[in-house]
Amino acid sequence: MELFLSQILNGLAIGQVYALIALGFSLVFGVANIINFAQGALFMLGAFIAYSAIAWFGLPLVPAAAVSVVIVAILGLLLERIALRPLIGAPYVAPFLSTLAISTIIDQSAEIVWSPESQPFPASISSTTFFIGNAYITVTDLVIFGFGAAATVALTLFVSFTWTGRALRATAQDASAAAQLGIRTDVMRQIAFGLAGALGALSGILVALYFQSVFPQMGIPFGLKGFAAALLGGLASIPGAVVGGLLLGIGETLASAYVGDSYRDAIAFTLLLLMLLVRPNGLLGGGRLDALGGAAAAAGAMPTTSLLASSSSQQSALRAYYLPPWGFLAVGAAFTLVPLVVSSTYVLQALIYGFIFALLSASTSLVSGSVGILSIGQAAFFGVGAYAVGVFARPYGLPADATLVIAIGLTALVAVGAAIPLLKLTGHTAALGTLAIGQIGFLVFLNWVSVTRGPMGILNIPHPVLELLGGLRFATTEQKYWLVLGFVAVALVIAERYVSSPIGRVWRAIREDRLAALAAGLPVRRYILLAFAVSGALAGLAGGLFAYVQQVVSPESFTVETSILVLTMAVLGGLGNLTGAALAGFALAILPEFLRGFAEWRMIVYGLLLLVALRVRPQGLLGAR
Amino acid sequence: MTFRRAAAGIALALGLIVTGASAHAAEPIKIGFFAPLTGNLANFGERFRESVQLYEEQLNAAGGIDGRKVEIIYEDDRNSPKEAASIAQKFANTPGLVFVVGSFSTTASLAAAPILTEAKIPQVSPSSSHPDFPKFSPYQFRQNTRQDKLAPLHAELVVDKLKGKKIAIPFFQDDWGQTTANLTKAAIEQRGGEVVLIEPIAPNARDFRPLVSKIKSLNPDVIFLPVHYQEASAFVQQLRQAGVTTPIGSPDPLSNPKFVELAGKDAEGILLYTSFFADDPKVKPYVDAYKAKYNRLPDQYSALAYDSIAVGVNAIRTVLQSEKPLTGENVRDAIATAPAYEGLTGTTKYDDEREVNKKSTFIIIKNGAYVLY
Repeated sequence: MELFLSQILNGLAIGQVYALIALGFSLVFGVANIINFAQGALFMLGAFIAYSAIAWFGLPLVPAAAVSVVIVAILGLLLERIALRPLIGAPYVAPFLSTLAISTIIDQSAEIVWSPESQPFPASISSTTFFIGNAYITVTDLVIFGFGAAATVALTLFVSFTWTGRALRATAQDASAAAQLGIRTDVMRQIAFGLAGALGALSGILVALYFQSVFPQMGIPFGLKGFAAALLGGLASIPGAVVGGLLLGIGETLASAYVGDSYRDAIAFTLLLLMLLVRPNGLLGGGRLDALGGAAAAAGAMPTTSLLASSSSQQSALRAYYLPPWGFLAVGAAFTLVPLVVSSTYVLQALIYGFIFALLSASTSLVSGSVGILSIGQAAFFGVGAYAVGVFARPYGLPADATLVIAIGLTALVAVGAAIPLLKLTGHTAALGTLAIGQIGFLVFLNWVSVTRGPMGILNIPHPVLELLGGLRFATTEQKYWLVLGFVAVALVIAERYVSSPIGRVWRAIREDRLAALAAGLPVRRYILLAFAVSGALAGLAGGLFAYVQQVVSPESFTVETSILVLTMAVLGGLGNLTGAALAGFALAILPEFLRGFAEWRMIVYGLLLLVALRVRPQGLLGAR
Repeated sequence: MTFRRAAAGIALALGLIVTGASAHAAEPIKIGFFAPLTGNLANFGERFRESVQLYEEQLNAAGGIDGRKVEIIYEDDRNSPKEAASIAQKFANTPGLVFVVGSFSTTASLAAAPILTEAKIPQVSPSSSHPDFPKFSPYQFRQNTRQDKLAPLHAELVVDKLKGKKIAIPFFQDDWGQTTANLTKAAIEQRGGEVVLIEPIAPNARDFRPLVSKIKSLNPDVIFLPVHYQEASAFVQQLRQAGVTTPIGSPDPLSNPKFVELAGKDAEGILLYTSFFADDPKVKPYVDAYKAKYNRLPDQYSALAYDSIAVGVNAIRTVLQSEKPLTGENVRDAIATAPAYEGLTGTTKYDDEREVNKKSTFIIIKNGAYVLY
């Protein structure tokens, strides 16, 4: 019992840290209706700028923190100005991608400026610890709690009682109506981003004080927890963020205490998904207007509006370019000639990855674009396919035709299972739900040691043999090139036929207006599950082929970074446009090879190219369909 | 005809983009290097790169290998198997490349292994710790000692030196941590110790309070900590903050000056071992050169990378002096049969399983520095 209570106390301590991070997300989401993926990067920058102010310029803690908060708030404004302002009027998914690109650039720049090492944080509050039996609480905990509470109260008072706060809320509820009443909605957005930057910096500094260290990769793990907390509490609700953070902290601490520390995150994200089944709007994200974003935003985005719609009411009538189903076969046929003229296995290997990611990107485009559930968890499905091949090809010695069928079937099943909790969700909430699924997948691969061999990975996967073709063996890079090309081309033909068929039309109808589709008598849930099954099958095939090419399967290939990369491909190609997705997947998988010359600047250049592409073609390269 | 010419042109262009201009008579000997230089594990990869670059400069300043310059190609794998495989293909398609150093993690090293093996290029990983890594093919070597050979040492450290009867083992969830923890547990039990807790911690985790509370309630008399230094420093801080004074023993990754810097006073008294001790007079020239160039002390990973490249260069020299053609195959044979080499981290003499068995020294952290135990 004493242990239980001390674990609750531990949970509260880490939970308040999550709450603080979640506040930044909620603010931006409420006002600008944007999931700000760069919030984690701003959080990391806040910690590092304070670190530099103390370590390099010898400032005491409080002025250093103030400097950091001001600088990061300005960066927040710049972020809005550079990455998001030009995309006003673009589809809702464009700014989302743009924040991702910015976060890649910031994270990599931080590694260059501050080196990839952890640095000890050069200031501390007090090392005093109070003991209550075996449980304990530190002075730092209390200080963080004080700041968190003060920030929450101040923010609540600000949005409730000041004119600026009211204008913010008005903008959140209905930007065009607010603009008609004379509110400068662009200024409001800037204020929201500036405030989010300041909050991010503040939480970054407090986290640095809490853990006594700063490291450039801290943005992603803490950012993910911030999302989860915000989602749990109800996106866009200030008290929700706090409650969500505390609950998440307690939940995962208990998981760590009674199940095992490595399961902590898996259980945290599973609880989140289960919660969403019961309360899709989060705990406090009800219909009441006291949530920052009011009813509309609190419900997790526009319940019946398409992701492809834009905030400006004019739908830009951009043309989408896409291949007919047989077109994929034609392109595939053209590619079969490449090994005849190129002998470099390096080029062929790069092309193989290009094909695999073309397929994976198309699978993402199918759920994210055609059905409109943005999938940030596709790497989990990719991984299921790869592990299916890894497990069945080695110990059971099955031929490739059998293992690939298992990979496809199993992944389709897993995808349908994963889709069930998402059925009630729409918009951003659904997207964050898939993020949780992706994390759970990665953690299962890492920790289910008896099947996946955990971090050891599955080694020595044999070369693929097709029994149906008389035991044909694909051992060299060229042979694998043809194998992968063949499977990918056929899979894309089938996928394109789905999208072009009446089924595809129903999917798009659901995306455009789910209520209208339901009212028209369409069985919406069944169609969504079907979309996930098809998408899962494609991702599973991509994973299976990846395992054969790689000959090694290990969890590192299926992280949230992979999911984000694949979604980037799908969005960049034009959501719902399989030709575009395949093209962008192919191009983005190969691009890093061309950027090798930039060495550590590589990911920065990559991020910049993404930003430019979005600016030029916010609808995607080949146009959304 | 036109088509063929066009196709040939495209092929040529692709080849040029990929391999760069090439082919001159007295061209430098090429060596490939890959490690995570960006992303999560970049701190380790950077250590490798610094040492290998230092070695390259020293070697070329001294005239290279028998008068031929050495050119090392540096690639970043981001610890991603996909990138590692692409890099391996790039190396395999680089004419005249006969030796590869890399990578940090077994995952990345093994993703490159099939391709390097097919191209007959030997690969020395400074730190891949998977028990099966060198078994992949005769072309895989490593510089670190296999975990099962270290487990008795761990048991000695925990049971004999620290007098542990009830032992807790929180371990890092990667191939190294998992192997180390399981083998050490078996070795401890063989010596009559009892392992009361063995639990993985996730990469990049920073909050260990639930684990600390659990350990506190189990009240072990020694904690054995196979955890990388970034996570380990957060762990010991939170452990001491909770008022737990249990002595800690650890394997070699904590022999990193950065660990002491991060953990501060909470690192005091931790007993560990290392195969590279920076205060050893034998390694002084290296430590001084490293410090002069990078303005920080080398750690064990820097030293392992330095030994890896040295082993390869020695083998290349052997091949050149024997007047056999300089091929990956011959370099591999030269590495496998090379006489014992005294490096920074001990003696490299590959056995039939292409493993080394290096001697370790016990050290303890006292007043913020590592001293011999």
